[in-house]
Amino acid sequence: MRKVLGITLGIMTALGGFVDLGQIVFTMQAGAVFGYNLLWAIVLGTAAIIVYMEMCGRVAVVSQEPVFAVVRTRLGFPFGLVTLIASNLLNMITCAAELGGIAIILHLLTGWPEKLLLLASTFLLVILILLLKFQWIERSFGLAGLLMVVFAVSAVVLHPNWNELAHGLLPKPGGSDAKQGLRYAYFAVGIFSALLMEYEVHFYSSGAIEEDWTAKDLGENFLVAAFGSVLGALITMALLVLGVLVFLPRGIFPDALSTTALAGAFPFRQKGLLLALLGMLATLCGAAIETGLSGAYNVCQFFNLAWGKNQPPRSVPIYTAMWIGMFVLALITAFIAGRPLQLVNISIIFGMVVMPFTYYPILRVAADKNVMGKHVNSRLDTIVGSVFLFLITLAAIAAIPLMILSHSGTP
Amino acid sequence: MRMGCKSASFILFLLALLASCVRQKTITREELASKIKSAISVAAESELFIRYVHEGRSTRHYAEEHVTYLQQLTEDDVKELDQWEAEPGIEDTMHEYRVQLVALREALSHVQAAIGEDAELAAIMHRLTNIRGRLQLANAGQ
Repeated sequence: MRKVLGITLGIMTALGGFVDLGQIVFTMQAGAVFGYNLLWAIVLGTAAIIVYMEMCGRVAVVSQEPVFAVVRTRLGFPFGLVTLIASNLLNMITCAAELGGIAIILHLLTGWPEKLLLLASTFLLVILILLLKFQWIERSFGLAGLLMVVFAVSAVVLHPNWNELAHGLLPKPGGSDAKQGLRYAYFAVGIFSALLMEYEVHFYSSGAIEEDWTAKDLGENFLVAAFGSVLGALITMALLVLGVLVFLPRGIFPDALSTTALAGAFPFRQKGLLLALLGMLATLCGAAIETGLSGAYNVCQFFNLAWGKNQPPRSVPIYTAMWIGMFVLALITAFIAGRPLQLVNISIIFGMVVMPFTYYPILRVAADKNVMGKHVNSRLDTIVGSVFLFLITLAAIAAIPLMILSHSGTP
Repeated sequence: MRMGCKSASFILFLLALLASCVRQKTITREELASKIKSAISVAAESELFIRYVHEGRSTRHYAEEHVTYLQQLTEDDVKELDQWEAEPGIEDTMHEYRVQLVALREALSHVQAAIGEDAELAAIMHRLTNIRGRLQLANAGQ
């Protein structure tokens, strides 16, 4: 039973990471503009995150070093510190966006004032994190996030063109002219980036240590990473397909979170709409928790301080103060910024720029026989990891110019 | 005196900078096309949404709050309009865009009160279809 429930770490990591506020809107926009043509970016990103999630889980278990301990030892203190600051800034911005998204969903469900809901939901999340053990956080939000399956059911019920869908799985150049070509590249990089958001590996590797995984659990590590990621990928694909089926024929560019709920519930009546909203609420809560906790994990691991959600708060005071501080800063940012979607778009694109500095140290340690012993990367692991690192670096270089040239993908 | 000249030049520079900020921005043909496409998208989404509400498939809260978001999107675009002037050759399209955007805002402002009233929702949907058609014509005529 414990092993079965262990899968929820992968599910929560992937659903909170893949199917967060940015991905929900961004992927539907991609489908609404380019049809099935960008499905391949989801496949590519999913393969990359499975490879790296497994690798960082293995590194965490074998060397007892989660991601930011590895970043410090492999990049050195000064460069590692810059990576830490950038990563935590992005975590905080993403957390702010998710909190804003949660308030929007609650507003759509209750009609109560959005600002009040922003404040109340953040307070409630902090209380829940304080009260619940790590395992119960991951189980509750991981399993609740499965309500997002309603989007996949909607996509199937609306009868996608399976032949075109299958063609979309193969990478191809897109865009009818130079401008559309830039937009296509922007969406491809954005989808790839959103699937690889750093906080997923921060959270996953820390979770492996929180759950006391040992070398005996390494067999399940791959299954947990793969199962959660494939599930997240299927729901992400469903979002894109809904963009194709609901918005593309009508010339709609979905630009609001509430619009995406409409697509999820499109073939159904009120209960479908409620399920779609609740599913989105669960994944947004999961993403907010992942980003908030990741901020605290990163700092403590980088400076070698005591950390752990399962420890009494008084024995890990800096860790506890850090994650509460992350939520407070995120709440203030959400209040000031106002528009969660703009925040999350910033975090996706700028997150891409930081990504190579997170994934490169993981690859190096996983391939280091002195650290990993018999659990070192196989030659194939290292080759595949290197190919993905090359693609991540390429996307990192292209991300900001593409954002500027394509006007953030707007019509 | 030398310092006074410098200070005056600096103040003049700041005033010129401020004036350039306050001055209306010139919108290009391409930017206008992008804005019109966004307005067409909001009009089409509003039609889809009203049909959904009309068929009784939405919850009351969702219907009321989603239309507020759509109104807000349109309101922001209307406010932005005041800061623009059209580049030569697209003044007519710009005028038509302005007229239809205001009409879109006006139509959306009646949706909340019309929820549950089939005839009124149908009338608003008809207006939205007209607005979308006119925006599409304006875009095609550029």
